[in-house]
Amino acid sequence: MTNTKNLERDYDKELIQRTVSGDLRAFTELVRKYEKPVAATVISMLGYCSEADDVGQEVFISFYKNIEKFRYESGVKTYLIRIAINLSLNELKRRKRLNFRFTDYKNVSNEVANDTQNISDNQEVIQLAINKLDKKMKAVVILRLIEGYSTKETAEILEIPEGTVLSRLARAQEILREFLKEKIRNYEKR
Amino acid sequence: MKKDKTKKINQTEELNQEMWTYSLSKNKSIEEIKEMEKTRHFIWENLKDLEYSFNPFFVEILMNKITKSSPLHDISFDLSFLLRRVMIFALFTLVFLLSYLYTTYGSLSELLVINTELLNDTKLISSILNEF
Repeated sequence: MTNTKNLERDYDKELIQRTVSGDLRAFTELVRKYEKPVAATVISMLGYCSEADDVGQEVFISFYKNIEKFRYESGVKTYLIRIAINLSLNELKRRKRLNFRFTDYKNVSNEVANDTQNISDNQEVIQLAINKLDKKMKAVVILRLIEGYSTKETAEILEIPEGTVLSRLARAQEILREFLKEKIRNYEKR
Repeated sequence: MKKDKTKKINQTEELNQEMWTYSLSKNKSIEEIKEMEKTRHFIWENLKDLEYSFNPFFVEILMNKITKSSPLHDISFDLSFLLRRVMIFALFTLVFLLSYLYTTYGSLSELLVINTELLNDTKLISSILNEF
């Protein structure tokens, strides 16, 4: 496992060095390699929309512009996911400013509870519930719970202590349970 | 992709253990902890097959943007930008000059007449000078 990781890290290093020396094919390879995890993070954060593609592009452009400064302190994937989360959070802030909407859990809970009753698709209900979470909790839920990054990786990406990852996750789960309790009950009956 | 799924399964098991330890340390009841586990399970079961991707031309569009923003392109961009500025400046100078001449001499035809007269005067002066 460690050997595979080391090999991957060495290969990424080689691709980065080739990119720095002007080989754009090497950068294309890096993009193709990490496009999926970046897409999963950005689309989970923002939903399917044109902005998600734009943010995805910004992630790689920002990486390209700063590639000479990359110090290999973290893996390329961790670094890219960190940029993806930060840019997605900026986009959410921008949306919030545009909509003048502020998250109020009591109201949101009722709003989502009403919405969820009308949606038959569990995937949609879960995504709706996650979208209503506070953006910091949402980032933790997406990385740790859905995308399957370890607690350590999540903490590294979000630059927060591991304990904070778990506390945010616990709080987020309580909120999600409230939103989804009817659906979970029906799901268990099947 | 299979590797990712295996990693996710390992991570879900690890997360269950971590959340049990964390919740117990926060004095949560066993029932509450089990409810949380059910919530996680419900989310995992429903989202496990979900795959996200950008539009099919994502890489091509990105690489096109990157090529355009390369240093070589920056120079050509700067040159065209400069050329455009120079042309705009020249146009403004021309308009200014014409409007100045128009206000000074009244009309364009008058201006032409004056210019012809001026030309004749110049010829006359040069012929007188030639006489000497």
